[in-house]
Amino acid sequence: MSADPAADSAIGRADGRALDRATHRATGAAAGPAAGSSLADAVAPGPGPVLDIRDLSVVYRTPAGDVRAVDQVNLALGAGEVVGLAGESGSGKSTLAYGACRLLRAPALVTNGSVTYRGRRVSGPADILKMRPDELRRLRWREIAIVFQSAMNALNPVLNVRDQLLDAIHAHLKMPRDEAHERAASLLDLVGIPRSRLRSYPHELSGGMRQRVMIAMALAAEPEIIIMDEPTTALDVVVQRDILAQIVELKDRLGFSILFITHDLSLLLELADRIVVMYAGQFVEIATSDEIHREAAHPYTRGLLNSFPSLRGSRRELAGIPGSPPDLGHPPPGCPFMPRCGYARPECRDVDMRLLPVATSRDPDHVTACPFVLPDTPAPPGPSAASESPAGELGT
Amino acid sequence: MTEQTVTSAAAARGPLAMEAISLSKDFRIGRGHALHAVRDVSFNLYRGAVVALVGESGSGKSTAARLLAGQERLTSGTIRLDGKQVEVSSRGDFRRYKSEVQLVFQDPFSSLNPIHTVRYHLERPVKLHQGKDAKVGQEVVTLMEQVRLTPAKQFLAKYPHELSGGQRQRVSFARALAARPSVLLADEPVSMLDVSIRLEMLSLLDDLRQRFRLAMLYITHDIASARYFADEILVMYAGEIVERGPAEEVTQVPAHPYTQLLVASAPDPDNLGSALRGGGRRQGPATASERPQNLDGAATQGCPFNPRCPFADDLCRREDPALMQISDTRGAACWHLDVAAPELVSGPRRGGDTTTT
Repeated sequence: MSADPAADSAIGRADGRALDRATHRATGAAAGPAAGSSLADAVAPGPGPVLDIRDLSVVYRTPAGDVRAVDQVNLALGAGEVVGLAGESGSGKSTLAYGACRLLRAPALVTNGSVTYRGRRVSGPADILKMRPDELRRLRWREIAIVFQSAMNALNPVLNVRDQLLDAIHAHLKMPRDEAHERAASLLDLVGIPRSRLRSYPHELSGGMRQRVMIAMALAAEPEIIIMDEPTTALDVVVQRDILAQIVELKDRLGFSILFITHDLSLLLELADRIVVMYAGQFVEIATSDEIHREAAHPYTRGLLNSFPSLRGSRRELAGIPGSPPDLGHPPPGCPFMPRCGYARPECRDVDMRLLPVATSRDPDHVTACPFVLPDTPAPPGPSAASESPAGELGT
Repeated sequence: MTEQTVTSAAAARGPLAMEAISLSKDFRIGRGHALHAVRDVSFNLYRGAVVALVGESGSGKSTAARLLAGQERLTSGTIRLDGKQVEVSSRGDFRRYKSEVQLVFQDPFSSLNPIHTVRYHLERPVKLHQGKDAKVGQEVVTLMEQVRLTPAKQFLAKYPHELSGGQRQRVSFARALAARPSVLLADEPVSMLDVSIRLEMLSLLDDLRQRFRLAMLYITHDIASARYFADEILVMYAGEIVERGPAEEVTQVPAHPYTQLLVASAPDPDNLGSALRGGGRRQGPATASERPQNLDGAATQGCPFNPRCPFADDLCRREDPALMQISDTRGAACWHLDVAAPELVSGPRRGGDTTTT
């Protein structure tokens, strides 16, 4: 990634402006758990991930007991990487992302884990979960920005586009007024909205334009990481495709990393470098997009892959995933997917959901939580002809 | 526009149930301005068949459904149900009409009343539409079994907020079926649901279609799901039908430049090489930047798609093309079909033009 000149220039630019910030952050980083990190970490992004989530658990405290929304997950996001987080509603994917940024409110509670942030502009790794409020304030939006799902609700209806952008700029960057105005305008250029729209109010914009404004706002402080929570779900396909293409273009130009949350695995196959499949608060499979597409191992991933009708190629038998996710207040023993799984067997009750490398895969980073089903395991008998994905069609 | 020469691909499934003839709907916006939400739209629905109405937001597809459902007054045009022209002039008329034609809404979160239980949502239409001697309790249980909300007892006392999105949508289906309709208009019935349960809901709808021989209108912006679910696809743009034909043919060999754009925009995991990750934008046959223009004034001149169309010329900017027949069951409204879809229109000149599978 860092080999291409565009990314390098972005680093150079960011470094120039980030000097003062680095000194600011020195104290905060020292308080973090990884205070003994080497100097090299502070200078270049290095090999370490920008965001490293370890053993993160989030529960919702209810009178009836804790609901384990996120259960001991590990996720690393590399510099310039696009990681897709896929799962059904209620699988905990948004809770995971918001928990890592400390955006959750009671009754949600982060009970365990660490979230290490290593930005180019900060002096060393720091644990977000241990940050003081003022440190958090500097981190948010400046280092990690979020694009929310529903742009209509996320934008302030009584402010025009320029004021919203200025708001974001002034809150996070020290900048003279006219420079900020120029920046607001150039942000709109970035996302392909004409500058004449600066004075428009959200209701005067189409859904796609609103979502672009949200992306422009996220870019306002040139963050290292952008979390995108279903940014295109409410849009129709043509606009969706346009916006995704724009996101990829901006990412290549500015060099940020993306954590892309969606329930639509088909989007991620095209967009993400790596895909994490989440079910009932746990990760069930992690692999590159190509691996997921060609040789998905976990039955749940296979179910997701077999859930969307394809436009091209011959019509295949589609199955979907029958049933609904388990009650996380009283999770079943063993694999939580067992009740819906076509491959289920008695031993599934004892599965500990540890992610192990897929034996048949050439990629050692392809891991699955299912010890029984391999990519070449034939589909179980019955109506759900799960894995019909045409493996032979793709070279390399 | 007289495109009745194009036979519906859905006609083979069953007898004619509903005819929409040259429907138009204008919304007045401000003084002297009108939004032509639906313009001269005609199609038929047949018992036991699914017709899909595909288009982007603002294309008028939901307005078309609301016109058919009697929720909105026609500006012009005629609706016929079982051969008789529909005229709703009293509450009684409206109720009788509703017992034949039911509408399912997109959003199961807002279409159910949060202060009422599932039982209330289902008992009310049973009492309204099935008369006094209906065995209400039993009927409600039957309805819930039909939409596979079982065990029914467990769900009857629940409130909408206690149900998942899929379960709520099942209640919506059951509520629509309570009237024992012959026509079901489903306005984006699955687009608010998770990808993983969409299929299940569509197969449930398909099952209901077969069981009750429903004439179904399936409204969606997801043309891929229409390929699997519908017999005929009507593609709508800026209030007009720009293409129609059998689902498989329209999705595999789209004729109209707009349909081509829709097909090209659908996520395509089987084609990773040219995907988004390659960095650049994939060049579709047309650009997505412009919004459809169906407001009054100069913008309505010519083909509504011309500002986005790569084939547009002076003719397109001057005159709006009517739906032209491509085959017995297909039509498209485009002046330049010979350029946009040469394999479809130049039949005698080219060999092997039937590339459909």
